[in-house]
Amino acid sequence: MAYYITEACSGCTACATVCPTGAASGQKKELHRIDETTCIECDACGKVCPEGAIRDVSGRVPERVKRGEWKKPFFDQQKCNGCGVCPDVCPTGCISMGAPDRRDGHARPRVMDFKNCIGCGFCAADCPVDAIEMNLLPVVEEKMVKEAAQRDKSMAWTLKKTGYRVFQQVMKLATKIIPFPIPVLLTGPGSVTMLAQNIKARGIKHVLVVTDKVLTDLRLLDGFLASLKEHGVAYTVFDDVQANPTIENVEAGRKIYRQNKCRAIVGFGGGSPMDCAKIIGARIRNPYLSVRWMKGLFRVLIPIPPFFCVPTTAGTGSEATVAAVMTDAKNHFKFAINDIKLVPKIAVLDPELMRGLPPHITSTTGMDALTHAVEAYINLSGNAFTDENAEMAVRLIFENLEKAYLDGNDMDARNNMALASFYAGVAFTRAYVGYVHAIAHNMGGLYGVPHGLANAVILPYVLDFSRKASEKRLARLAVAGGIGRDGEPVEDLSRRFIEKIRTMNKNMKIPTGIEPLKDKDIPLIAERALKEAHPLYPVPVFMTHRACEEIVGKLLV
Amino acid sequence: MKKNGYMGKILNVDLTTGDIREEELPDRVYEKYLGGMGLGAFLLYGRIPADADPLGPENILGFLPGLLTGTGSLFTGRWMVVGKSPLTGGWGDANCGGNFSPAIKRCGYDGIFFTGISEKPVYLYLDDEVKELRDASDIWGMDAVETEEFLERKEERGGKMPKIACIGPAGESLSLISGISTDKGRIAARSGLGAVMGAKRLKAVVLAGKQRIMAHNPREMKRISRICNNWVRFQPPFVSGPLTAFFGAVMRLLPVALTMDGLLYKIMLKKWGTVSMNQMSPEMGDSPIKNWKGSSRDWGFFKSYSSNPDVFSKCETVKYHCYSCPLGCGGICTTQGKYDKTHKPEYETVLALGGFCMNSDVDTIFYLNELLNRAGMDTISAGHAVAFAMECYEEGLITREDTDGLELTWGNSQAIAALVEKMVKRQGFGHVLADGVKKAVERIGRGSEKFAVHAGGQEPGMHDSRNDPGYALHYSVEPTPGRHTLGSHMYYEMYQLWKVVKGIPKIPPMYWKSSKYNDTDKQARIGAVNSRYMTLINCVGACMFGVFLGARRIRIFDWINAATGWEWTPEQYMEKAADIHTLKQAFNIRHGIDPRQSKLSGRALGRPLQHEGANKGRAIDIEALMKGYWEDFGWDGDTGRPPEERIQTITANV
Repeated sequence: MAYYITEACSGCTACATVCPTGAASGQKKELHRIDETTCIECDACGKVCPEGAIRDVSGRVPERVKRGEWKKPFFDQQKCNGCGVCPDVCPTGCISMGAPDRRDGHARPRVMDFKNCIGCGFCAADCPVDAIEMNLLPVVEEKMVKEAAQRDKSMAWTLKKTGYRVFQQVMKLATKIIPFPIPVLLTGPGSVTMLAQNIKARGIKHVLVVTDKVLTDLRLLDGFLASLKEHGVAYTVFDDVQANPTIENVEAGRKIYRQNKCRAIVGFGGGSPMDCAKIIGARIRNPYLSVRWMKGLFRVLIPIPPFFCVPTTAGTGSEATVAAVMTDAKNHFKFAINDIKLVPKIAVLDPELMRGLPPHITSTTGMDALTHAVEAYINLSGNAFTDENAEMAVRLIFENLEKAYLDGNDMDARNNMALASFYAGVAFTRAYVGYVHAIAHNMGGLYGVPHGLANAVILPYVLDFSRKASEKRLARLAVAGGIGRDGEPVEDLSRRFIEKIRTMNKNMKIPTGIEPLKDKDIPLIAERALKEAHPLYPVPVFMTHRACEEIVGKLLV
Repeated sequence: MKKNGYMGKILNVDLTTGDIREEELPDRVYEKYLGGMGLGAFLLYGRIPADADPLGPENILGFLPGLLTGTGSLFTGRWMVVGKSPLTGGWGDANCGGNFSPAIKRCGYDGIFFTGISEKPVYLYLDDEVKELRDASDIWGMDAVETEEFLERKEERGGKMPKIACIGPAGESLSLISGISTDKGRIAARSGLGAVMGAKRLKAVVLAGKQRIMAHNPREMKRISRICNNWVRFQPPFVSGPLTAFFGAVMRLLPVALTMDGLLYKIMLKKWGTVSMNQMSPEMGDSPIKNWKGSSRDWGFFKSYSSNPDVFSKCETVKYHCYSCPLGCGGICTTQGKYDKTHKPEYETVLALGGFCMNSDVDTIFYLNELLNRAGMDTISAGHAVAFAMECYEEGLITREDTDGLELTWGNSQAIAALVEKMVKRQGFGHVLADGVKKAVERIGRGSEKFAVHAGGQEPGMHDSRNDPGYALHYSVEPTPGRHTLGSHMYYEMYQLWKVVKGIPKIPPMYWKSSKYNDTDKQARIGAVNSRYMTLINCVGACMFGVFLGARRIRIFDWINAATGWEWTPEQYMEKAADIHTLKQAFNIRHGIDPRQSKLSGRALGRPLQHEGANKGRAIDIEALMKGYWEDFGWDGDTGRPPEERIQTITANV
């Protein structure tokens, strides 16, 4: 008993391609045949044969089904006992056991790639407890989401979530009371030269300029240093900052500051030099506090020396934030130091400095800024002030990022992007970020994926996840970003907003997955990401470990 | 494609000539011998000549899935390996879980049988189209896990991993206590069949078939499976690990015994696995301690505490299920040291390398578990060999010069680890012990036989026969002696067979403990029923832990009928099982085994009596039990020989 092929076969090889056991075979444009000992009657050939040349065991012509309409298995996790029958019976090997369930430790099956599934239904037929049902892919996906939500309705999880929300409310209140300083802005092309004037006006004789090798090699500092000289301010350049600044960098910078009797610090460059400069300042005034000790909230006790920021990328927002991210070289652990004393006195947004920025850095840093704005906006700790800033940032990014990406010399676009990054920074330093950052930090920590790139890739997936909960906010952002009008249905608007981010990514050649991500690391990443996000980030909807694993799983290339 | 649970074909591989031949079997063979071990017993009885050397070309090594494997039943994913045992010289079979069993059927066979000896190391590769022996020279010498990883990489096709059974260095070096490994650490370890595979220079069997296994009535199969599954799902929260010791102590102290319900054991199995017995078993007197010399006094709560069940569940990263098992008593654990992970050690392993050698260092047990799994060596036998050496050392039969400088004092965990490493590599003193205690006695001599506990060459499992006469009987009387997986009084209580099968003894809900030792007729009868039932279970490939649920909850007989379309009563199946069991005994007789000689060593039978502990003053009248057992099967009560005409009727007409 097996399937067989009649003379009507045109030799299109469709059956041979799809057959999981290699029973259907033949040369192109010649009559194919099915080996009856190896045929398993999975009906895959019947579904694809365009000529209707296949006959099933009873001699009937199987119905031809479009690939998009092939039924896929849905695993009912409540019924499933993890007995491992379905991965064994699956002829294509597309079913495998997933990560262990956090509650009972048993691994349960999942389909890694629905594309490989031929919809034979053997898994459903052989499941001893009827835990598998075959359905169309969209239905299966919807059921999976529903099921995950159902599963998370446990008492312990509800209590935990309540605890997180209470913590976040306290933090929100604190944010209202604490006076967050806002740096003075110097904007426009050539504004960097005005900084020297300001420094002189403050009576500072000697500054430490913290930057990195790339920028000194590009001679990007020349204009600024010349203007310092012009105004009679002495300077020392410290350019030993690494891409992810370490504690050693900070100590080296501090030594140079001491030796040259500097009186102020200028952070000149991307996120790394600015963060390093912040911590150098903190260490100078707090010599008895170690960098590791300062990790966390409000642990920089004495205010830092006058501090100025000159960002050369539009994205990190470090020029506006209270945070500085450091890396412990010993265990590759990234941690943040947060204190309002770390906010600079003056931030210079000079588009001229960003002129030479390569397109891929323009795009990823820009998307980083967008992530800041969006996460700050949909988070629950926002207020009217952060909302306003985030809306402005989103509008500016939607309007200018692609322009800046295509034409690096477009000074208007560059200027607006610098502003957008600053506004986004102002917003997220008060309203926090969300899961995108939590996951992206681990991508950086484990594989060294650039932060901006990771953010850009992950953002649409996480928004998909929390779209339902933050529908109205996303819709308002869509309106603010100019891709919709007030009064349209919020669901459309929110979907359009996520779609817009996907299109921007596509236009700027940002991939849809993280290349170095490995399957086996997914549980670890999920665990670390959730540890970072809970309870600090006031996300619109909480993510369970499994949901997080699913999202990270989507990033596999 | 057959639609009655079995595939209807077997594969014969002649390793000497490289000839691979399919053989169709008529339905009546299945009707008579069911499948799995029964099929193996039938084929091997007829095909292995009486004087065959177990490690020679005439011995046949068979890999068999169960009759119910893959038909939609639960707990039925076990496979059997059968052959003439080099350890006992008679019938040999070993039983293992993992995912290998359905793979044999998915290649289209109800058994793969190897004869001959290959010139160079080979492995068998089977899929839907290709059937060939491939060169294994480059993997000869690799351990079992490395071999599997290598072959998985090499033979993976289209994302589907092949299923592999292989031997490690122990099997290659013909250690008589070696087994055949699958799923990176599940071993068909008993009877020393790894050495048979090693002697045939067959490194591995790689199966990548994708055929379907069809049951006669899938709907009915599922209906019965759901009943079973509902019982397995019933899992109330249970006490902490060390508290199990308390239950053990209560069971020891009471003069009466309550009939054990398998559901309680299932709850513990699902929570911890077999390690749930680590503390309970020594407390109730079920664990042999210090090479059967010690008692529960020597291995008290504080000594066994280091291996309490919670220790194992803490380092468990994921539960491990064998094929079609809803319970998942296994697990993958992270470990410190040389290996980063291992299969969760079983109770037998923990006790054989722990309390049996007075070793309370659980890290060594984890390490040795993985070491022995990789080498493909039986942990029970290895533990016996080590403890035997320790006692010889204590009694001065061997000295530090004999042991290559190892200080073999009780509980010296470093010495245990070093000795097992030597055994695996067959270095120095390790060579003396690498073939089990019976061979070790021959090699050491000097009157060491009084410290060697074995039954016909096979070291018994880690369940004290003085605590349960059922174990003593089955250790002594089975065609495969020394097995703890074939029956005991407690198993009989949990099987609850009397609810399904007519005319067999019933156990009251509560009974005096002493009644177990006095009523030998009933004990022998219970033993015979156990043997029948376990033979049936091994024919259908079911798991003992599943069967513990009770015959009403796991309906093996109904499953067989639904899978095959036969319509037989439980009593008829038990009769078939008795025939198969008789055939195994006949195999032994034919190969020159005297059933009286496989009696368990005296120490394990309470000769001399113990003076303290849970089994104080308990002795087993094993001769009476054996006689009663043999007579129940219709064999000669004095010699244990099945009548010639009975064997002829069993083997006739097929």
